[in-house]
Amino acid sequence: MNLSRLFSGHQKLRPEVVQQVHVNPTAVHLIKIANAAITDPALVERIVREPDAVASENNLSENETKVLRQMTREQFATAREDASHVASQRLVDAGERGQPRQSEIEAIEGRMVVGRSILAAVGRSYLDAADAHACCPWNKAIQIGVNSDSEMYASVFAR
Amino acid sequence: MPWSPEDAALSLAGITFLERSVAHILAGWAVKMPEFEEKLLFATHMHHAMERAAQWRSRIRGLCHAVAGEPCLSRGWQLALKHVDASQDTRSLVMAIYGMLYPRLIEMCKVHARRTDSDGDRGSLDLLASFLPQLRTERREGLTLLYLTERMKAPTSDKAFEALWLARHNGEKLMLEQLLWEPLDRVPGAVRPENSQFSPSGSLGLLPADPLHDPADVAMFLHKEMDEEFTTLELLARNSYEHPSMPWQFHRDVARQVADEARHARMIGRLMQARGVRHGQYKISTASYDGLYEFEPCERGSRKELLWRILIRQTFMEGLAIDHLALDIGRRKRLGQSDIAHVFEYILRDEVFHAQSGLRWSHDLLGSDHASVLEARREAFSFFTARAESARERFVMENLDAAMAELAAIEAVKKSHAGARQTTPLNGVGRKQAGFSEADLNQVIGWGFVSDYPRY
Repeated sequence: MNLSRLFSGHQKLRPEVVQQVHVNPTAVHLIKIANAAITDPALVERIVREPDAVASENNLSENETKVLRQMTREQFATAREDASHVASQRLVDAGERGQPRQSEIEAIEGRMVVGRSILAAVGRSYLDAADAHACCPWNKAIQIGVNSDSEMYASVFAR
Repeated sequence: MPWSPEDAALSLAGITFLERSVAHILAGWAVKMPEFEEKLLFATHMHHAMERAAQWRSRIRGLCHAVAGEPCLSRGWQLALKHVDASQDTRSLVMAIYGMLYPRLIEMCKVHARRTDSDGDRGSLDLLASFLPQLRTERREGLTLLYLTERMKAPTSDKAFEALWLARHNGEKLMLEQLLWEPLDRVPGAVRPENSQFSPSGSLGLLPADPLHDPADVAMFLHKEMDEEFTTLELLARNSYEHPSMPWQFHRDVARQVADEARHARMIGRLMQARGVRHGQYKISTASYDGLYEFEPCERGSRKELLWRILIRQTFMEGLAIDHLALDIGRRKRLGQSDIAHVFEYILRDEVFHAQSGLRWSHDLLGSDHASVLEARREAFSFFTARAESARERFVMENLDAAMAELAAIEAVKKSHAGARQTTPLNGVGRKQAGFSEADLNQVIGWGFVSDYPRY
């Protein structure tokens, strides 16, 4: 058995990397609903009180519904504060070249609500991440160290 | 007149230092070599060189014990070997080790065999008879690495090295322990073949839905295991390289584990090949190297950093491997996947040693104070998991679509085992053989990664 074929010659023979594919891997519908709720307190109340009905009206999938169920009033309130923080940080990064528009801040708010709801649905701890792996549950439960990027969100989520 | 015991000991000191230096250089470079085959060969040769060095050292002591003295070498030896470690690229490094150091090592062995007393120094001659064929084989294997990536144009000589080698008898006299040099670099990220694709920071990486039954998911599971073998090999090798003043037994234990990981990678590679998968076919993870290399609360290169690496990798993660492998061996056997069960049986044996080594050296670093080990593990684990969770939040907030795809994958995992949370029972026998105390076990049970019942 020629084991070297398994490991060597990657530059020359590297095949296309196989990507994991799952049905409907998009947050676009949830972002749309969250964005609408930013300026519509009544929709926030409906999402919190009757998420399954809102999901049904918007034809959300089972997984999207799981995320919608995690949305809370507090998340919308916190997202408002955090979006202002992120927007001002971006302004600093952009060198005072332009004030972010209200619609841009609201878009950030909506994405923050969805992001935090996904985290709540999946679980945010290292143990939750380990449990997500049906195999070798302790190893690299969360990828760290590779392609580490800016610390922009760190100050926000340190709260 | 054949050599006196003093002459023989001095000759062996040169051979020993060369072997120890080869192990040191290979340990430092394994993570920097881009090709997997290079890493495996470096790991195996590192172990062989370390073991030969240890046996030569023991032989020197046998020759010197009666006169209570050991031979010293000049600092010039260190300068020559350090020059090789400072090679500018992997091509020059491979050529320097296998094209320049190994031939000299072999020649020194031959000279020793010719000049020493064939009866008085029989112990050395017996070792030479065993080691020389191994050295020739390793040299041949090493030179084949030059074919891997069109590096045949590597320089076959290095004038600076030649000059340093000729001047190796110059400089102050030092004991073997004093001759090894401090690390020349830091390597915070593991090197992989060009064009490799990685799981992004903060993501959950590959999530095979049914790694027990679905053949494609079994292959993906093995791909993940392969990542772990390489990253552990690399991290442990750096533990040795970055701490040359640790006791020889530490380096021997580490070298053994590094070679074990290389064997595991070859065995997992066999399983993958049987399933038509090659490493790199899915996204690669180097998280278990990159995420364990350094920690903000630890000074870079410090003993505390070494301690944290050992505590997290060897006494937390490899402890859990003892539990999970035992569970998986039984499951794979029941599912008729005897080839996987067979490989895991061997890996489990090694994991017990790896955890045992981690426990031994973490206690050694903390003055054998078990309470301090528990507290240090808690502190290291808390920092490690908090940093991971922070990376996770960042990833999710910045990659909502990818996070939704992960959610879908997790739901698929849950469906594959009917929604029940899978808990791994503690492998009481394996844990005990590794040397975990009840307090160690209660700590990991308390963290929720393993269940106390049923214990087997």
